[in-house]
Amino acid sequence: MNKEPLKIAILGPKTRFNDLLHQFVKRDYPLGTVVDPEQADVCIVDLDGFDIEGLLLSQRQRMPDQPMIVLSLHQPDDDTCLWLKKPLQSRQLAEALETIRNSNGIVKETDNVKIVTATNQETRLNQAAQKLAVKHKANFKAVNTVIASATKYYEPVEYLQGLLIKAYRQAVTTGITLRIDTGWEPIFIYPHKRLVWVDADDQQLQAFCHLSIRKFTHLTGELASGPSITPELNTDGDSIPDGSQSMEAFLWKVSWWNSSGRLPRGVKSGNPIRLRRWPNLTRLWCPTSALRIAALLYHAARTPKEVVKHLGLPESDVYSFISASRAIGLIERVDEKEAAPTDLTEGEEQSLGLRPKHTPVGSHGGFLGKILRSLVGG
Amino acid sequence: MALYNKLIFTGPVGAGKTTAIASLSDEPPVRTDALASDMTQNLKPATTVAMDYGVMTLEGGGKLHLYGTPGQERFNFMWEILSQGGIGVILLIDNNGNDPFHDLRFFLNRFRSFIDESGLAIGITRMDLKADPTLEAYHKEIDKLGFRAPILEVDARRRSDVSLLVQSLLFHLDPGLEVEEEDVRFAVS
Ligand SMILES: Nc1nc2c(ncn2[C@@H]2O[C@H](COP(=O)(O)OP(=O)(O)O)[C@@H](O)[C@H]2O)c(=O)[nH]1
Ligand SMILES: [Mg+2]
Repeated sequence: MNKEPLKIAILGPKTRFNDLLHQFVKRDYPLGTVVDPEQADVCIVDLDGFDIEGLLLSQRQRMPDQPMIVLSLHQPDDDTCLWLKKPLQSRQLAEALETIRNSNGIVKETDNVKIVTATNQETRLNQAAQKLAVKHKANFKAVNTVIASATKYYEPVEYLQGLLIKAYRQAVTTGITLRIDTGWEPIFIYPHKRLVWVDADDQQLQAFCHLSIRKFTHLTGELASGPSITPELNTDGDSIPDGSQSMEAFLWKVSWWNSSGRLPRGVKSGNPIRLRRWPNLTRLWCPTSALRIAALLYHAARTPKEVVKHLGLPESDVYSFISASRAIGLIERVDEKEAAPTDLTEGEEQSLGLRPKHTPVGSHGGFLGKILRSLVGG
Repeated sequence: MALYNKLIFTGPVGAGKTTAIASLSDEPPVRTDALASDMTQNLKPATTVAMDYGVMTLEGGGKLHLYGTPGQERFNFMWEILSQGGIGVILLIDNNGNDPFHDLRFFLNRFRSFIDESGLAIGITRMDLKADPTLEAYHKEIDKLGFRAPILEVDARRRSDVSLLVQSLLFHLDPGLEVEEEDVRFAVS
């Protein structure tokens, strides 16, 4: 086994965040070691840190080929960097570092170090391809692609979504009001009225949803015993507090936010899926693009990748939509054969029944667009 | 383009047709008791039919006419005339009605041939008063009848609900529609 660690530099002044990064490498990523920028195999930069641009630029000039992992809230324009969106998940950072370690030729073929995250076949294939590519001096963008696919999936059971689904099932089958404790605000489930109540607004919920339950527990040091679902005996079931929301709408948005633009494990980006029916979008939190995704996936089976391509939407919008729809039971997997073949003409699709018989594009498609703009704008 | 400029609202009495049309119409909607002459040619001169009418003025000119079908069955013939040149049917069903599934079947069958040629979106109203049947159940029901359509919970008094329902019809007709100006490839001049 190759014991040579990945040399990591953390750019920028000593901030609390950079301190955390140092600690992370020391504690959670023993395959790496922190060094000065000139000696590093990779630099990590907190782009939201103070006065970082100049530092970044000079480092780029000094070592133009050095891979750079950029951490920020918003995607930077520079696509030669590897961007990890904040709030940062240590798993993602470990994955990014691990991919760079692999692509650096630091890991030899015999090296059987396990990646921190669960490896699925796709990741393994990508890594194999990556190793091959390295031999032929692959550029850094290729690494970027690998990372994107390595972090494309999430495990719903590790998030509030998984807990909610479990609690919903219990509450509905027993008819008993339940309470979920995670160390965050307690969440109450009233199965008779199919309502949920929590003392938090959407912004707070969304922030909580960015973290896996374990990560949250770890960060806050709360609740050593882990999350729990318990009967809430001192309510009479009828006196539900104001501000409660429907179980479906709550699970939908929690799943949307838990997904953070990733697909739930079990839905492959290259396998066709279909919507059983439209989600109740008048009562669900979503961007307007959700209507287009719903229409397309209700229409015919497509792979998540195809939906992204076909509609020209950000991958994260499509994947979050799929995650949320799946959480409320609307996604079905489809045999490859049944899916809409992508290389058919409209006419062929039509004759196969894959398009509505009277797709108005070209006839009154422009008129529909006008109506749409009036509805959205007005 | 004059051919496809109507949207038909139908459904049982009390489902929210009048309210929905009013919420979308730019001009004060009229509940007509008088009719355009082409629609009355089959009637005795003195006959009038009550129906809802509204209009949405579109960017760059053009209008979308919104029609609500009259409630009484004796005016059934009107529906055929109304639906000619319609881009689709907005079916509103009162969830608090006596037998909403019966209403659903009745109106879907009544408009079947028109829907086959155009499009359909279904809004379930008054779900705040009665939660059952669920959207899932409605979906099973239209499945049995061989229809596919968006089915959304709608409060006809909320413009945003009605607007979203109409948008769902538009996307159902053409999932490739985009909101941005430059993407409208077949803009009507
Ligand atoms: N509570 C409630 N009332 C509604 C809803 N939608 C419409 N209404 C009301 O239902 C009544 C009947 O609506 P109307 O438009 O006259 O129905 P129409 O007979 O189909 O034209 C009106 O008082 C509306 O304000 C809804 O979702 N909930
Ligand atoms: Mg009316």
